[in-house]
Amino acid sequence: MIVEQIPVDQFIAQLSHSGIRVKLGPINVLIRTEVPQLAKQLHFLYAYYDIVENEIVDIHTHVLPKFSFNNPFSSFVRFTVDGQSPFPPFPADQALAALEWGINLVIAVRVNHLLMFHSAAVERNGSLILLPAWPGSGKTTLCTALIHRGYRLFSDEFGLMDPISDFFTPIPRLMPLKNQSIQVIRDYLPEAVLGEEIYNTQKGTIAHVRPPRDHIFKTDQVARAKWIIFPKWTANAPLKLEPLAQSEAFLLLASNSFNYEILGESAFRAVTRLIRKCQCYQLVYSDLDSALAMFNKLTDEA
Amino acid sequence: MKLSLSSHHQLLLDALINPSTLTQYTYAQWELLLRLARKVKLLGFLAVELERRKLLDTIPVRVVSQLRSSLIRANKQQQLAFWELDRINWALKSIRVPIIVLKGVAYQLAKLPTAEGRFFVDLDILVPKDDLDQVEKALLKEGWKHREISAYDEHYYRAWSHEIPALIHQERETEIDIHHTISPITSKIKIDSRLLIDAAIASQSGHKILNPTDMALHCVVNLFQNNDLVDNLRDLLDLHDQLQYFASHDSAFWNKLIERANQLRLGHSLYYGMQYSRLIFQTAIPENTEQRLIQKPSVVSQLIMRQLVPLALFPLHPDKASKRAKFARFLLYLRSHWIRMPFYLLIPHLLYKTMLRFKPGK
Amino acid sequence: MVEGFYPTQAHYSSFVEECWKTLNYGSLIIEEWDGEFTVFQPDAGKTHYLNEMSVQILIYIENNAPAALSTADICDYLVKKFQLQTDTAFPKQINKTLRRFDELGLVKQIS
Repeated sequence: MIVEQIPVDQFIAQLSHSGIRVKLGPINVLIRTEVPQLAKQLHFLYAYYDIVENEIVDIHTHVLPKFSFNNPFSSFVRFTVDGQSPFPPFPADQALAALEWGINLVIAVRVNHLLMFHSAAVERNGSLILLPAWPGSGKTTLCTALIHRGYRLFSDEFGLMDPISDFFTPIPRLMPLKNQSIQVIRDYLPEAVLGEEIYNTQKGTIAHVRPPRDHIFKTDQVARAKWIIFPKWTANAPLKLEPLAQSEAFLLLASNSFNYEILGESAFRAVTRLIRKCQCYQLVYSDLDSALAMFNKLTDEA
Repeated sequence: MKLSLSSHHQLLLDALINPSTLTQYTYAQWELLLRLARKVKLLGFLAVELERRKLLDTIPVRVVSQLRSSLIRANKQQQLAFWELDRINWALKSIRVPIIVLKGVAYQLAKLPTAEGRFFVDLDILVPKDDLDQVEKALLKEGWKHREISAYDEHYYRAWSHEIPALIHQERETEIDIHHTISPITSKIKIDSRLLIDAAIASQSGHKILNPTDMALHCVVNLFQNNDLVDNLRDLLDLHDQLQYFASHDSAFWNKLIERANQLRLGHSLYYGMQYSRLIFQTAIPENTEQRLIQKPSVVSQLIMRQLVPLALFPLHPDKASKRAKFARFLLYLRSHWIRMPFYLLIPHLLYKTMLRFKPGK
Repeated sequence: MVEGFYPTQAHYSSFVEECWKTLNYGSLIIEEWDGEFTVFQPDAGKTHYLNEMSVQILIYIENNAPAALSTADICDYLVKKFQLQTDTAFPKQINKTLRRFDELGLVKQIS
């Protein structure tokens, strides 16, 4: 059963009572909330996620209204995991951002059986492209464009690599577009499904892209990486794809992993194998058309 | 004395005492157990116990992933702490000061059975008070620095605590706590740390650690004097492990322990330590051993503690925390400050802490 | 020491005579990437990014074990191996590298 199949009223009631158990790729999450606004957003944006039945939930989250002495007339929400808040309350209209951020945080802190890169990842022709995040990479925008043009979404945030088999596992989460990217995507991809705009978050205005149905349904199909492309968005710059020295790619990839240090030797060996097998590039781009053409050419050559 | 626990506490305890039963757990039981064990820092312990029994193949894959994730983290923390110890010895190679390793790292050095998979975030060492300055200076010269703390905390540490403000290396993040005694100098019990240092023994690796009686006494002092006991089940498990292990290697251990506790006047803490270790983990302590302690808590204290201690040691239910357990924890919080500090210091300190709680960002 | 002046013999010898041994070299995992190296040190749990000369220093010291090597020995070897024109700054530079290795626990100083 998927979220969409539950009538919205029942969904809201269940969220506030025992919570809804959803499968987010390899991680099962229980979400509980008494915030009706958030419940409605989730019913729409989480529509295609599987409901977990007869399995263990890994992360137990709760988003609850919180009264603030400092701001008695504004409403706030608190994100908790196993009864504890990892960060201060958010304004109530940012509940979805708090939940998404909170779940990412818990995954980043807890998961060590997989090597986790801070990276977008998409698949075409059976092989994976890693798009590591670095400041100004515009990875969410690029990733959103790619997955609406024939690439399968693995993740916008986490490259999850099994350090034994070298397979990557999809974890298709909502993709938070920020500020100007929201309009860019609305113009470029009218078919993309976006949630409500959330204003004044720490990262400005955010709107979440709902991953397409087929991508979520194929969450169990893993893939090995073939390309590592460090993207950089620069206004009006002509498209430029340049090979990147392997030692530099190693340094960049290791330092942008969430748990490279924790995994120690197995991470060192995994990154070594990954870099040896992949083609590493640096990409500068400004417009999506030429970037997509470049990606298609690169992945067709395979 | 019989222990009656709420069902989620019993679930956790059964898993800790008898990990083989875990193969029978339902998904719902596993889910609750993992949350509780995570709270009291015992996921790594469970992972090791199941691995030793070769049972990891017989439990749900998702559980294995969580346990393995925790074990990887625990192993990393141990590696970091051991490396920090190596680097401290490097930095102090030119000064001749005895460095006694305490707590988690010492448990590893002593090869205690439950040391593997144990979480610890920092390295604790004990040095003679007279050498403290020299050690601190040498470390500061070789790349360590003080963790940033408020002026008030700095004053509290230096004037009233049993350690100096923590040091961290500029390039690594492991914290070193340097102690000069094992209980706060303000507390009513003064422990002559010279006695501990003189009696320290060498581990197989050549590091200095407390001898078995002192290691167990340090553990009970930490539990019942330096702490409010909240979520400290892991530390009681450490104690249980030490008592069992040391007694099995030395038939005179119990006598030595009682004598040492009497000498150091730590009867109070040891009395509780033995009682609760036996009550909760069924430690095989000979009957009435603790009655030979010169200092024992009064019957009234014992009765009160009996109501509070288990509620604090075991984690709150993650979805429905009982009010009674929360209140017990609050009382023990007050107690921990009460016994650590003279009354005239206590009120301003608690006031300061309370004020901090109300201030944003803390 | 003032840059650009030849150091006095006494001053010079004070550091070139320092002797070094590797520290648990066998545990290191070394990967080469076109003249650059990533080195994993399991004891420290750290990955080091080293250039060719730094790695050669480690290998040369290790190959001479169990005997220790002085900074001067190491400099002589590197000058030959990389056909360098040396100046007084070179031993200083190498000594700095060795001290850094000492701090990282890759080598230890023998006194």
